[in-house]
Amino acid sequence: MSHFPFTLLLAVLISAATALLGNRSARDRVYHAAYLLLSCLIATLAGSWIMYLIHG
Amino acid sequence: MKPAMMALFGWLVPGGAYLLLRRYTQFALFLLLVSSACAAGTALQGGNQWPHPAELQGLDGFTVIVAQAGALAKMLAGGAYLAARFLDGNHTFLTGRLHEYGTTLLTLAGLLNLLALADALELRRAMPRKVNQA
Repeated sequence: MSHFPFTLLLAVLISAATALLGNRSARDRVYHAAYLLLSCLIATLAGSWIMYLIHG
Repeated sequence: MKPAMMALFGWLVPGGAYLLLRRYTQFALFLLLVSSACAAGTALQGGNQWPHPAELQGLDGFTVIVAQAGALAKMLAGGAYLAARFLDGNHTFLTGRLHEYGTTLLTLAGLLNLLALADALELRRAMPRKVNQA
């Protein structure tokens, strides 16, 4: 398994777990999970590009 | 139920603190998440033992603290961690450094269980007093 699928797996686990916390409606939980997963993906892609531009 | 007993049960049974609050869906999903992360971490040969002094020799103080904190985080998975130790407890700290994916998943399992426990204790505090004493 390469780094990207593994990072994606961790992002899915963390998004799912944090969406389950608290006293929220199912709709809010889905929004929260989707928002966090998307944020993780964007941060990973941005970080990857920054490292690529620095190190080549 | 007292918070200490709830914390102990929540540690031993992943997501178990939700069970005591009768939040069955959250309990089932956290049990699934923590157990599957722990099982995957064990399958990927993640290190699940406390680092021995010999393994930490030559490392600076901060790195030693980080290594011990990582081992502590894995222990937070409770029952899933104990099962992993019992079924496949041969992976030393150094073996875990070689199999980083597995070690990361084991650490994540522990942190997820801690998250569930903290949230359940918070929800308990927010509940009406009468329910707390039940």
